[in-house]
Amino acid sequence: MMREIDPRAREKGILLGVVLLAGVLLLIGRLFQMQVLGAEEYTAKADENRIRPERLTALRGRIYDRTGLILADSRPSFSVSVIPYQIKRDPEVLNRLGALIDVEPEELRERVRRGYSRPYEPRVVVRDVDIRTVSIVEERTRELPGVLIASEPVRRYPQGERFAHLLGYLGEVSERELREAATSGSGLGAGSRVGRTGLEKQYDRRLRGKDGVRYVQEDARGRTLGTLRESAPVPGEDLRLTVDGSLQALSESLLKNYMAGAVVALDPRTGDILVLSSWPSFDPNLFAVSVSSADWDSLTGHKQHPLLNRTTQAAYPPGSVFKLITSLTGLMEGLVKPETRLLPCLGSYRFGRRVFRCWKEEGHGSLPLRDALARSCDVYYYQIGSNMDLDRFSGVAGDFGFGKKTGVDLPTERSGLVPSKKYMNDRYGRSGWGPGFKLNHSIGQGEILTTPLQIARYFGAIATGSIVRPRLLKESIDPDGNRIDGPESVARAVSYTADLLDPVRLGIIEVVEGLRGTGGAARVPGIRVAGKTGTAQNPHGLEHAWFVAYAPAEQPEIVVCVFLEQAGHGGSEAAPIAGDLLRLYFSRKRGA
Amino acid sequence: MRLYRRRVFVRDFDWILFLSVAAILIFGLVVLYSAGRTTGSEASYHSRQLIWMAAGLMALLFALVLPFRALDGLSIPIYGVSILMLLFLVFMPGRGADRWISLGFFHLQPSEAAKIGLVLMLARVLSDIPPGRWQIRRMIAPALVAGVPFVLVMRQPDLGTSLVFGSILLPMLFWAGLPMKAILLAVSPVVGMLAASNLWAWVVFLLILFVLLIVLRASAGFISVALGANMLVGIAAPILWNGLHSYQQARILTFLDPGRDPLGAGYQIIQSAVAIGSGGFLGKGFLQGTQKGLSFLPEQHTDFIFSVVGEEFGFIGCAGLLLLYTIVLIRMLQIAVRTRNRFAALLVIGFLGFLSFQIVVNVGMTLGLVPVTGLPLPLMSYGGSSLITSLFAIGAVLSVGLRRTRY
Repeated sequence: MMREIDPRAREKGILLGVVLLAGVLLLIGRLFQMQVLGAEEYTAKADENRIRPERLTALRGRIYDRTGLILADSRPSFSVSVIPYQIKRDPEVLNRLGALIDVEPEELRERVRRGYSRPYEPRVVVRDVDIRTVSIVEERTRELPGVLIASEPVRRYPQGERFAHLLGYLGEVSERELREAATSGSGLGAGSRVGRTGLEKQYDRRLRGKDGVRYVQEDARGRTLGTLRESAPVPGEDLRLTVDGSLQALSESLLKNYMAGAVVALDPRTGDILVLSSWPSFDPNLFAVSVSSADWDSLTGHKQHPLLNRTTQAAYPPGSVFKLITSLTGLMEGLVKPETRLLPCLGSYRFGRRVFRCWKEEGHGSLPLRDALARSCDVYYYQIGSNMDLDRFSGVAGDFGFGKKTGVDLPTERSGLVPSKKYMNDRYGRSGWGPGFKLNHSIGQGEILTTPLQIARYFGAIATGSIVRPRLLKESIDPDGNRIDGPESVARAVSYTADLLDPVRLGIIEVVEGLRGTGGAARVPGIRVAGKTGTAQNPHGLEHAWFVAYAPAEQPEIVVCVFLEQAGHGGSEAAPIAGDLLRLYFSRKRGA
Repeated sequence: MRLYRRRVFVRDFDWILFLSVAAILIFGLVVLYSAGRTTGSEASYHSRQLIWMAAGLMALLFALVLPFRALDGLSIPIYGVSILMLLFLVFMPGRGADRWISLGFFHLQPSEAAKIGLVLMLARVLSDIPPGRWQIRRMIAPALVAGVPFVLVMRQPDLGTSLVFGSILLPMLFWAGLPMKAILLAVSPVVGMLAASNLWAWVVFLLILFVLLIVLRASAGFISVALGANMLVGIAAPILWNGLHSYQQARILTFLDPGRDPLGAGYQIIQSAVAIGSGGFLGKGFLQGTQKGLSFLPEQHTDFIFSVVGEEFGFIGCAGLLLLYTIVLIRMLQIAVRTRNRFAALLVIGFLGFLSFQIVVNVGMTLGLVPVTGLPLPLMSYGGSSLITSLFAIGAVLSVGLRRTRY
């Protein structure tokens, strides 16, 4: 190993050492100057002249229906806030404040404690106080250091519970979200209100806008000395939805007669949702300020779960509504031809040792496809089901969007279920299930689960030959008046040619228009309607009633899907509601 | 060569250096715990830093057991990869201002890797040049090696970090035997650029430069080149100034006059000074800092961690911490002086260069002596990349110390 001794190493080391020490001494000197000589001055600065940033809440964007009806806006309100670190200094303040505004001091203390991890940010303790309280507190600011009155906008939903599920509601930002927000720069602060469900959550960023900030200089007692600078808040974007207020109102009033249910209507050409209504509902205004625990308990304890959006968040067996899928599978596999009549229905079908019943005890006789659909003959479909390939069936269902989310612009959606062979093997074991299960699938029972939105979309695809992504937001409008398009309308052609779809379409026109069809209650004068009833067996009680329709049959522009939980027959319960909605839709169109 | 006989290890291992580093690390965790306490993130900083610390100690151990012939061999790969990563940042579409590559759980900062790469690469290049006669053309290779990461980081744009590369280059050039007057030639344009903002300051600067060159017995030709170069810089400075990003301009101006922008960049400086100053001689006590919890100091767990030290541990705490750093740096210097291997000595000087620069600039920044540059405080600031880099450097220095008599 080469040994080379650098003769000047020592000399150079000393020089570098001197430079280094000089740097360190400079720092220590400055520290001494600040912390020893200047300590008092800086302590005074720290205590007496604080600059406190004050949040100016941005006005949340309004939400309109497609005609301009206001679904959500904001109203002004006053709130009482407290700066935690000043309260810690003088705990008596909360007792005095509590006495003035009639709130238990213990309760106030608890609310302040929740915000203690940010002791310098004002913490709202009472929201939406009346003007009398404001003046009482304002008069006594001297006795109440650290207590602030702030005005802030409060969300208002003029239509009450009618649009609750699609709009969603607001909640106060959580500590965890605040921490995440700190790194993502989303501009949230303690006490900010953010969308928790529905469109309020989906489009929270757009609706929220950008809060402003005002720098307030104040003394040790929390008295304001002046405003140094402020940046104005930027209001959020307004949302214009695809939904139609009057159709929504009608569907709500009709749903109210039932225990629970859902209605979806959409334009099958664009995916624009016209009605999205779920019953029972709730009043989102309860959440606008801060939901009381009594209200919350009554909502979450309710047997019918009013917070659940039945159009997208719940999945049910579709029953006979699914028979179009079975028909297409049969046609594709060559198991049936449109004109062939299968074995006659005598009210039941024997398969191996089991007997599968048709809903009509006296039987339908021998039927071709069109009549089998129109009269919803189960035995006809058992015959397809026993011979069809399950994966082919679930493939057709998948092509119509079952078993996956529709991609609607709502934050939570269920994908439902269409069983494949693999699924059945995993669930029951390879030998644990047989062809008999397929008979149940063929009439939309068994493991199959669908959401009402999926059913509406699927019917739209039958009508037009292409499947759309449903959407609720038509466009948003920013504060400068620029229009920003909502989610792009996406349509994918389904892989079935007209010669497969047409026989099915003829069958479902017959459902409504035919003499012996099951859906006659949905007729509209002057318009041909195609529809399908469904009466889904439900192990927990009475059957679920389904009806789904599109119209006009020749040039479809609206799909309506009605689902009623444990209400009985689709033809007698659900079809009339769809009929009412279609009649309103077309009469208004004619009037216009 | 059996390096790991225990007695030799115990005798030659620099325990003072290692224990000082350990003390700084532990103190760092304590301060991070406090810094996180009031921002609502109490769960994250110190515990996550502990994980980085484990990774950093692995890096230290790795550098320690590696013979430096292996380090020599690693110089090209490390330098090359870090340059590639910097290039990736420059050309990554649509993410102009990002300084890191996201690996999901970890934000890799290529500029940190580039510090190690540059030290290794410069040590390799400079140790090939025999001491003694120096010629201008010998400076081309080192200038290129340092220039590439400098320009790439400058484009991020991160002025502070690109200056760190200068703090590596200059001491290493000096150690390699570059004459003082040549260093003066290299440094003077930078100082001249600052002086050029004021005509009189600039004239005084040129006079001082002239006198220094006479004292260093530079030739007439050298003096005219040096002065000429500085004249050019003085003229170019205003043009360069306009080429800076507005936030960089704002930072420099705010440094010169913090009152100019009391709510923007100057705000951090004022609040940091108030926090440190109000700490007084003994400090307000652990977890007792009142300024710390303000949203005024958004970077108190990273760049402004020293402000928390100042507020809660006072002058005693600050001076003690600086003493620990000084011990670390002086021990490193001693290792460089004693080493008989040129490559090893240059390596140590390079690491010493960027560590000391970052310490002085970061602390100076919290004290309002230096503009806010966004440099972390080595071994203290929250962040994995910086911690791992610093501990790798310390490991390499310890390794040189351990083997100094062998080479």
